[in-house]
Amino acid sequence: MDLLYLAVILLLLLATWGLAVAIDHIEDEK
Amino acid sequence: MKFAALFILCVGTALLCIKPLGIYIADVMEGRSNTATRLGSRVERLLYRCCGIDSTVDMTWLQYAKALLLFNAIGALFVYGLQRLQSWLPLNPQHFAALSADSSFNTAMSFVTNTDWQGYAGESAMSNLTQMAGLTVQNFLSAATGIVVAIALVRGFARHGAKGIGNFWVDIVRSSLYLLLPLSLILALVLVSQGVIQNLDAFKEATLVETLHFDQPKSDAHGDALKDASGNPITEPAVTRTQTIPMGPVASQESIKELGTNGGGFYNANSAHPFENPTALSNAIEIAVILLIPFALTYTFGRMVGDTRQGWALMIAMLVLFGALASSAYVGEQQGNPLIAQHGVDQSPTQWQAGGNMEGKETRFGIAGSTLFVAATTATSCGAVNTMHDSLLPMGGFVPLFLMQLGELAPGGVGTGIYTILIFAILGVFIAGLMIGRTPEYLGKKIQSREMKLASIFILTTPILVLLGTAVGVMTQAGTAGIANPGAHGFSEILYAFSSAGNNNGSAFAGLTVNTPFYNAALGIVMWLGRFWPIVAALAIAGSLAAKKRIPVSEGTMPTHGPLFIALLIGTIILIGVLNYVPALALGPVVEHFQLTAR
Repeated sequence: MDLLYLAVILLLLLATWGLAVAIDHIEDEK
Repeated sequence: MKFAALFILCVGTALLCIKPLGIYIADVMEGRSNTATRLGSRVERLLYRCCGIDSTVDMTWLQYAKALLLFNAIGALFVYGLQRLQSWLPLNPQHFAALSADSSFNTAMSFVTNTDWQGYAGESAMSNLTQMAGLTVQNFLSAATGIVVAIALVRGFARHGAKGIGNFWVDIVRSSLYLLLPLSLILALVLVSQGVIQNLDAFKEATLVETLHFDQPKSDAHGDALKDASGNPITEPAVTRTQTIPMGPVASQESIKELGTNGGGFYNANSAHPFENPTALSNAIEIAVILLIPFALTYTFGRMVGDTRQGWALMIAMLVLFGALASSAYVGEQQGNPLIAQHGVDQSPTQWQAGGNMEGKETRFGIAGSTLFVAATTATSCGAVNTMHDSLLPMGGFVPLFLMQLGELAPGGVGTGIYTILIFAILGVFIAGLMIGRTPEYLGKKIQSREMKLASIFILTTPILVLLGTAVGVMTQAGTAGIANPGAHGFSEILYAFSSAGNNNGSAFAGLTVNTPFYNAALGIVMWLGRFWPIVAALAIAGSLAAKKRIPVSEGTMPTHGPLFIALLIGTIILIGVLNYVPALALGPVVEHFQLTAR
C-alpha cells in the first residue's frame, strides 16, 4: 500500500508540474 | 447585540493591525532593513549557505513554480513517512502504532496544502514527534507557501518589463522567519496565559467524582464497529471510574493553526476542546488572529504596487462579504430550531441562556462566539472549529458551505485570500471591459486572452473538483456508506467534505465517516489539485503581468479603488459562486431548510 500512495503523490506532482510546463509551452508558442 | 460587540472586537482588532502589519510584511518580503531583519539576517544567511541557495537569483514564474512544487512534494513525503514510522521513532509516550497508509496519505496531503483536514483523532493516533515535526512544521510551511504566491502575484503587478517574479527560497525563508515564527511565539504565550497546555508529558489518568455508566460500541477482531441487521451500532454496557486526559505541545500548534489559517487541531474536538480554546477571551483572540494576516496582506498589496487605495478597495470588498455572511449565520442560529419550538421550548436569548440553536455548541461561547468562529474559519482557509458544523441549522450550515465555495477570499487564507481576490479583480475588469467596449486593464496592466485563460484555470479547477468529487461520493457505495443522516443533510455532508477539501479549508461537517480508504484517497487527491493547480495558474499570471509594460492612466481608465469597482468585484465573486454551486446547494441545505420549516 505504501508504494501505491507514494506513487499517487508522485503522479500528483507530475500532473501539476506538467500543467506548469504546458502553460509555459503555450506561452512560448505565442 | 453580543454578536455585534464580538464582531467589532475581533474584526476591529484585525483591521487595526492592517496598516502596521501590512507595512511590516511588505518590508520583510521586499528585503528592506528593519529591526527583525537585522536580528535574523545571520540565521537567514546561514540557511541559504546550508541549503546552497543563491539568494540573488530572480526566478521566472516557471522556475518559481517548480521550486514550490518540489518543496511541497518533499514535505508531503516527509509527513507521510513520519506517520508510517512513528511507532519506531522517539517522542511517542503513548506508544501509538503507525497510521494506516490511506490515512497517512490523506493527512500528508492535508497539511502540505494548508487544508488540515483531519480524518484521524490527534490525541489517540499521533505521537508528539508527528504532531511537532510533521504537522506543526507544515502549518508554518504551507502558510508560508500561500504568502509567497501572493507576494509573487503582487510583484507581477508591481514590476514592468521584468522576467522574474522573485526567489521562492528567499520568500519562503523570510515569510517563515520574520513573520510566522515570531508572531506564533507571541500568540502561543498569550494562549498559555488563557490555559492552553504546552508539555511533552504522557497522558494523565484522573479519578472521577462519580462512577460513570455508559454504552460502549462493540467491535470485531479488526477493530471495526459491529452493527445489527438494521445498520445500527451494537453496544454493551460499560463502567468507568477514571478519565484519560491527553497532554501534549498544544499551544505551539494552536498558535500557528490560527495564525497560518491552517486549522488542524491537536485534539479531535479542535477549538471546542478546553485545552485548545479555554475561555471566551481565547475564543475572541483566536477569531481575530485567523483574520489578522489575510486582512493585512491587502495593505501589503497596496504598498507594493505603490497605491494603498487599491488594497483598501479589496479589503472593503472582503469585509462586506464577510460581514453579510457572518451576520446571516448568527441570525439563522439565533432563531432556533422550529421543531424544538413546536414543543414549547423557550429558545429566546435571556440573561440566563444563549437561546437559539445551541446543539453542538459550547456554552462558554454561545451563539455569537460560535457563529462568528464558523464564519471566520470558512471565510479564510482555516477550518478550525469550535462548534459541530453538522449541528448547524440548514441555513446556518449554508453559510460556511457558501463561504468556502466562493473561493475563501473574504478575507481568505494566509496569502490565498489576496491572490484569489486579485484573480477575481482581473475577471471583474475583463467583464467591465467587455460591457463598455474597452481593452480591460488593472493597475496599468492590459488584461488579455492569456491572463483570462489562466484566470479560467484558476477559477474553474476547484468547482470541477468539488462537484465531480461530490457526484462520485453520492453515486458510489463507498461514498454513501459514511453518511450519518440520509437525505438532504447526508448530501450536504458529502458536498461539505469535498468543498472543504477542494478549497483547502479543512473544517468538517463531521457527520460523515471519512477515515476510510475511499475518502482518504479521494479527498487527498482533491486537496492537492485544489491547492496547486490554481497556484500554478496564479504564478503564470504573475509572470505574464511582470513582463508587461505599464500603461499610463487615461480618461478611459476605470478607477479600481472606488465604490463602483468594489461593487463590480463583489458582484463578480457572488455571480461566479452562485453559477457554480446553486444547483448543489439547492439539493442540500436549501431543501433541508424547506423540509424543516414545512413540518
